[in-house]
Amino acid sequence: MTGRRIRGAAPLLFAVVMAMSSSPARAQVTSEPVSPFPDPRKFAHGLFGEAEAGTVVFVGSAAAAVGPGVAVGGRFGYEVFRWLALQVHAIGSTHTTKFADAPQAGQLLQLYQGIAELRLTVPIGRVGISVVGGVGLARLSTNVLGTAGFTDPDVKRSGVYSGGASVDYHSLSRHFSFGLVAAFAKYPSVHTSGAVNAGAYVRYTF
Amino acid sequence: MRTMTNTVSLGWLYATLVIAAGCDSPNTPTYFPAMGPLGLEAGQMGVAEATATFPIPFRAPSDTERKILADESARLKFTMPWLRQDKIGVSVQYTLRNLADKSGTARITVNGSSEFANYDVAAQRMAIAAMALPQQQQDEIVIPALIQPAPLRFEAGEVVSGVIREDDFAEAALDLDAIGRWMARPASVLINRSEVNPIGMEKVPQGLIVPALFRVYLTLTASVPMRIEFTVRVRDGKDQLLAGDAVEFKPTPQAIAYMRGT
Repeated sequence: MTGRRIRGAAPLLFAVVMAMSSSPARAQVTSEPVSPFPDPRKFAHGLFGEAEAGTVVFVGSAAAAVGPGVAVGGRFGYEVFRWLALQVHAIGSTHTTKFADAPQAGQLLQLYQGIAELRLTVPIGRVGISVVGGVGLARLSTNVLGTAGFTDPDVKRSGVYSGGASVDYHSLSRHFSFGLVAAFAKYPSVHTSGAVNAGAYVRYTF
Repeated sequence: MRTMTNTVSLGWLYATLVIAAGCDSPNTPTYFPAMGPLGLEAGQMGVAEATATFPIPFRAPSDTERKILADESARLKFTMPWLRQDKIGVSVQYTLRNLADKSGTARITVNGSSEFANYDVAAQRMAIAAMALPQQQQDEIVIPALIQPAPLRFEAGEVVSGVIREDDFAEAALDLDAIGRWMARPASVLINRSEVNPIGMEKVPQGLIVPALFRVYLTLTASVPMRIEFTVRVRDGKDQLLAGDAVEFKPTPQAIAYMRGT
């Protein structure tokens, strides 16, 4: 029994002796440690979806005839690389006409757009700065613009050429990011300069 | 993760359906502008009147649709209209401008035709004139319009915009059908709103499918020179507006004749 106690105390005794014989530690901090997160390499990429809300404002001659519209929309696409994405953009906006002293004033008009887009991004940490361009189709809900000469009579459809830019900020979640986007769209069948679409979005990358 | 994926997918599906529905719903009206401003100058008596006739272009029914209409007519015991008031919403947006440098009054009245009956006040006046009544008696005859809003007073140069609404056209279509097919007295039904006072509607069958107006007569009466501009707005719930190579619907409605004591 006595011999067993001595054998049990031996490691403790060894540790005490080693501690008393060691020299003092002198660590020196020369810079802030690198934060382990967020690590942009760990952000999800691939398939993604966006929901956006904003406004569509006609510019040019139609600006005086069609009021700014509330817009909602979304994008669905695939990030081929961190800097390149292909996406489909659907957006709808609702406007009120404001023709001066004309019977067409005060009419509701919706604009629906579907655009295939290419997005190029420069990632800077959690921030991504992008340019977006695309082509697609637009549809007007009524022919009221045609009655005032902004389209040919009874034309409700037009092509769309769109280009713009966005700023994206990634959250600490690997899936969610938020951003602002603004784009200019040209409608060849609508006799005006075009329209500006601006809004905010939330993106979920799968 | 699966839950989030499903939620996002359903959201996209919902958004797509909403957009697709919005593209072709009855709430996407078609506007028909007038052929030009309906100008009006004061007449010799200080009152002038001008009328524009506006046919709304609808397509004719196909053979299949004609057979369905015939079957429905046999079942309901009355002729089913091709253009149904409950499927076609008509309204008129107008802008009225006083061109004079003095105040004046203006009145807009609307008449029209369904595929069964034509209510043309000008034609009725000609019929009255053909009766060879003394001028004083002719002047005393008042022919009410299908839609007759209150007169408007205008200051010099004033511009007013307004709408003759779909429910006004719905009431006008019911009144016209009651007069044309169900022997209602015009003076009874035209001065009463049918849902408030259905006098004159006694012979109108329950469950009647009311024919819509396919032709509109818009008349402006003014005491000083005025000009009206208007558009006819049509909500087409059954895809019946004329489009493409379709054949236009051109019915020959029976003219409502003026009758003494009506």
